[in-house]
Amino acid sequence: MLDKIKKIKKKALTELEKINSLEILRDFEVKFLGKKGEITVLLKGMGKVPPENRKEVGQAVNGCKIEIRAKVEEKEEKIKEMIIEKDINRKDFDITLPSQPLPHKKGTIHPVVIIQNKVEAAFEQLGFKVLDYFEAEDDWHNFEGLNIPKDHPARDMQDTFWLKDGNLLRTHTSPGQLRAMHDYPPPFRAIFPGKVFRYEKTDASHEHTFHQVEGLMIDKNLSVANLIGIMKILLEAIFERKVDVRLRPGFFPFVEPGFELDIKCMNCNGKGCQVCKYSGWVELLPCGLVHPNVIRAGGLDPDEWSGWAFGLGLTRLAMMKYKISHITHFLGGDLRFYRQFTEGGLK
Amino acid sequence: MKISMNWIGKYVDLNGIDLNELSNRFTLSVAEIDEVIKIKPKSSNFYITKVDEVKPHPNADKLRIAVCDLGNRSQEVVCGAPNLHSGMYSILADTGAVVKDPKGKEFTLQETKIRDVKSSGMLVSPSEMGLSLDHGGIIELDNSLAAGTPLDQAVSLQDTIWDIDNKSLTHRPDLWGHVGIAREIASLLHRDFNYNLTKPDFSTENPLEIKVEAPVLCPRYTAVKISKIKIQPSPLWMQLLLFHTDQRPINNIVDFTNFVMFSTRNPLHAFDINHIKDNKIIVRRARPQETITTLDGEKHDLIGDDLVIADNQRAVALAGVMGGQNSEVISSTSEIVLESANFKAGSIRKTASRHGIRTESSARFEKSLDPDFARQAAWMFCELVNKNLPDSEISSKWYDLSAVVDQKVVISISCDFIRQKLGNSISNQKIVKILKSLDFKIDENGDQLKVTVPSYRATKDISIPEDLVEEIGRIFGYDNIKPQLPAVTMNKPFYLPIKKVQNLIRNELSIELGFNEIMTYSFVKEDLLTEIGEKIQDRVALVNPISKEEPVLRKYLVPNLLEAVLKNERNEEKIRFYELGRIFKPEQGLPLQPQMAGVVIADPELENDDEGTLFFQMKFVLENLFSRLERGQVEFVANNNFDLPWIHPAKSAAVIVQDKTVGYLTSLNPYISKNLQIKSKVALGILDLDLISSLEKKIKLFQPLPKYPGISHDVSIIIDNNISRKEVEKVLWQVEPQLTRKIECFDVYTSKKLKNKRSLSFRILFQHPEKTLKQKKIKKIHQKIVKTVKEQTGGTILS
Repeated sequence: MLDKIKKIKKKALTELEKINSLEILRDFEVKFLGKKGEITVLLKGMGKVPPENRKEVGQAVNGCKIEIRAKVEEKEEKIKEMIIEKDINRKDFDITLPSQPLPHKKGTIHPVVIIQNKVEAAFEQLGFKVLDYFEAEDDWHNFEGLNIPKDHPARDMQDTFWLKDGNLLRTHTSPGQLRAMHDYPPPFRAIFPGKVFRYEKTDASHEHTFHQVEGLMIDKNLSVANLIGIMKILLEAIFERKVDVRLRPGFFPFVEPGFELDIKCMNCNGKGCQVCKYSGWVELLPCGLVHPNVIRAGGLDPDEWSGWAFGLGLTRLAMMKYKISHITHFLGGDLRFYRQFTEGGLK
Repeated sequence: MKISMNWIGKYVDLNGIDLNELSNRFTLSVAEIDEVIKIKPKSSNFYITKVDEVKPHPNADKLRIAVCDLGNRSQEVVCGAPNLHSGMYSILADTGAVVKDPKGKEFTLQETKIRDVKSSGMLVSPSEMGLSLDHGGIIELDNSLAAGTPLDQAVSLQDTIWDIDNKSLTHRPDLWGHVGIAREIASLLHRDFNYNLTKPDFSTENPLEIKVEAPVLCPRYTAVKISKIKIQPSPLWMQLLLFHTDQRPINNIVDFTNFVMFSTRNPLHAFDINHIKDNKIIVRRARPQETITTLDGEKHDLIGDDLVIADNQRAVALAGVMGGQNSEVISSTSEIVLESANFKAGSIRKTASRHGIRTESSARFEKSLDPDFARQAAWMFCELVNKNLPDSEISSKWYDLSAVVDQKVVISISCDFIRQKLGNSISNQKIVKILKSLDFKIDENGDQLKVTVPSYRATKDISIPEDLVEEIGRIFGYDNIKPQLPAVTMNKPFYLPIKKVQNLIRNELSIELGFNEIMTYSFVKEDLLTEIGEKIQDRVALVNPISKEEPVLRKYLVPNLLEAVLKNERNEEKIRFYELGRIFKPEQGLPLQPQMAGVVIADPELENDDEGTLFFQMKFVLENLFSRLERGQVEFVANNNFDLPWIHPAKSAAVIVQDKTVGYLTSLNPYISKNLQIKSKVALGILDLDLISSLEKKIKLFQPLPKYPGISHDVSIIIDNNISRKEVEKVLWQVEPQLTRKIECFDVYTSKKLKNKRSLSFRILFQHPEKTLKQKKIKKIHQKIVKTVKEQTGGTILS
């Protein structure tokens, strides 16, 4: 019996040595280790072995099985490696062969982009430029130049991701105000959408990365009445319905006066419901007349030029529109989420 | 912050005012009220009581029997409260009173037996009365109300509470207490604001020694000594106001300091004078290696930037943040030094955050309080002592060490400026009236105003004309300003090139080619990079990453895209998605942040992709993209210079437009699939959009339509594998360049029989500009093709 085991083992190892494809290796496994494989048969034949030899023979068969199993795994790794090596070293792959069309399938645009496109389209009709600025910013553009000096409590309001090179990830799209004033001669009007970052833990309604759009208008003699007027018609264009707005005092160091703009709750038409916490109004965006220090930091004379600015949360707008419960879906990469938003298209 | 309307009522008459309307007005003019809470406890059958005697409960260790004096009668109740003691004043809820159980459910008290002992009514905790959530013990009162007084006759238990978000008050240090809120309300209601403090009698001489060694960090320090104090509960009216504003009454001295802070906005601190060595108080910077254990029991190592209050030997308080344990007021305290001071905002903010202690005190000081608040607070505290603790006495003069320079902020402004900024025609008279109601002093000269800002608004809130515009606007009411569209200058039409490129790509991929647009984070996980074989160095790193696992910004889109493949391959069949976004590369100044596109085709079902199907599909995608982008022809060229681990050395190509490499496409390197355990076959297309949008626009011009019909001619060529389709096609073009219009490779046939060769089938369109071609001519051309192909490529044509 022990001889038989040795023989089978030797045979198996010799055969294994020659194998160079996964298919043949599978056949080999069936032949030796499968249900009717040679080694399995040996194990089944244990009953015929005299009791005094059983232990010794049993150990030998098992040892043989374990050894071959290990060799098979080793071989499998080797073959896979070989396949990979062969694949990456192949010389016969002709990249100039004709391209192959994709079978038809329905695609989608990211929900934040759907909203962003709507916002951009509305503003473009009123002659706003759509600009795009950096996500990694310096302290001056994100804070100092926006009238938020070091030690200012407003820095606490926006917990910041700092970079080791001394820069930071912008906490709002407002640095674009300074960049736009430097890039374009006044008067001008512009919006700049993009990703912003806040150093905070994520949960269903908090996310450290989200999207905003900033708006800036620089002209002579702009007033609070103008700000309310423009915001109202633009929000009506974005929401595609009549919108009632109201302003409340709000503190943001880069505007003076500064406001929180509320819209009448669209869920209950201002009667009070869960969405508006029974107040009839929903806080939508901060805005205000640009602070003279910021106009100055933008390289303009505040006695000559005035401005207004606002910041609108695109992620939040998308959540409101589609009633999305979890903010982390937006950057989560799960296609089952993105596939749901079939709107949008040519702008 | 919780604001009690009963408390406000001390400073402005709220009689006849609709509180709902007032809260709306306040939200629109001052700060948002998150919630209006109405407190309406049922108050009948509650009585002030004095506990005459406490007896043990015969059947329970934790329960006791209180014999309660109710004036004309006495009643026994069973009580489990730890703070029950004989002689104390408390509130007894008699049978018939409605109280709340621990879950907040109301029930009516009935006579009952507790462990076989009869109990008529109960001594109540604040939570059982519905005053607060505090149920640590029964209410303790001072002796100012006689036992037996019905509670509803003694005080008003009803109140309306506003919950105001602290964040909306960041810029208004003057609103961090009831006095400040009351002034705004008085202005909104056009009612009188009654807040007058008279100077208490500070004539007793009893020398303390006070020294301010760091006047920059402590512009004002005042102190007064108060003796013969008996620590006991504070009066019921004060306890109610504290309960209503979520404070827990402790004892008279602590409650007074809190009450004063929540009124005047200035934090106070009381030291037990027995623990102040040599009657000496020094305000100084902490010494090297100095430590302090604060009231919460935490020990802090101090640095020279921390300001401390010290006696002759040691620090006794972390100035403006928290008192020290070593000088705390305790039940046996009989003499205190009351500190009422002003500390520098920035220094308090830093100390509080350095030691991780945020207190009501530090929150106020770090907003830049008016130094005059320190006076108000000291005076109000002494007034409370005089009124409520008749046995105590103010036993020192009022020490007032001030380095404050009395500098008035005066702003010149014209009424026209205000009207222009608001865009409305508010009258001069109305402007002046509003400013005066907010305590501004006005010097009028026609349209020109010289406005003196009250000291409590001048610390940082109001300094320029625009700040005054806000004051007028908010009190006038922004809802009273009519919306008006501005007359504006026309601007030149404008379109940012990168935006156009991104939009064209989105439309092509999402609308035409069936891709899902996704977005991923700008961070990348370290272990992902390790598995891919990318080094963490040479990347833009974060000082404070959201987690240790994501310490750097993405330098490439690919790792996050591969993670998305992993996330989706279990749920999906044919995966197609893309991301448009910035990547980050270290650079002097700001990091480089090019806008990129990353396109992914993945097939979890595909066993092997030796044919490169996904690769050629990706090529199709890129060809389509560039046909839209107006940047000219795209070419795909084999390139071994990409040093990126996910590139497949054989199945990859550089994407070239206008002789510039603008990206690449590749099958995913199988080693990466193995390391990341991606089971799908994957092809990637990566483009630098900033580079593409910077390229010159190239318009594909119109080709005149042919006048004469052409003839299509098919040839199949058996050719060596290592001669590319492109090379063969080039040869075909050379055969009859004048007549050849189009060559298309429509079939590739491989077979083991062909060994190292394969068959490529081409369809060639021949066309003559001025005549119809004849078959005879095509036959001739065919001969030429056979010959040329043989000569130049060694390929043979099957006829």
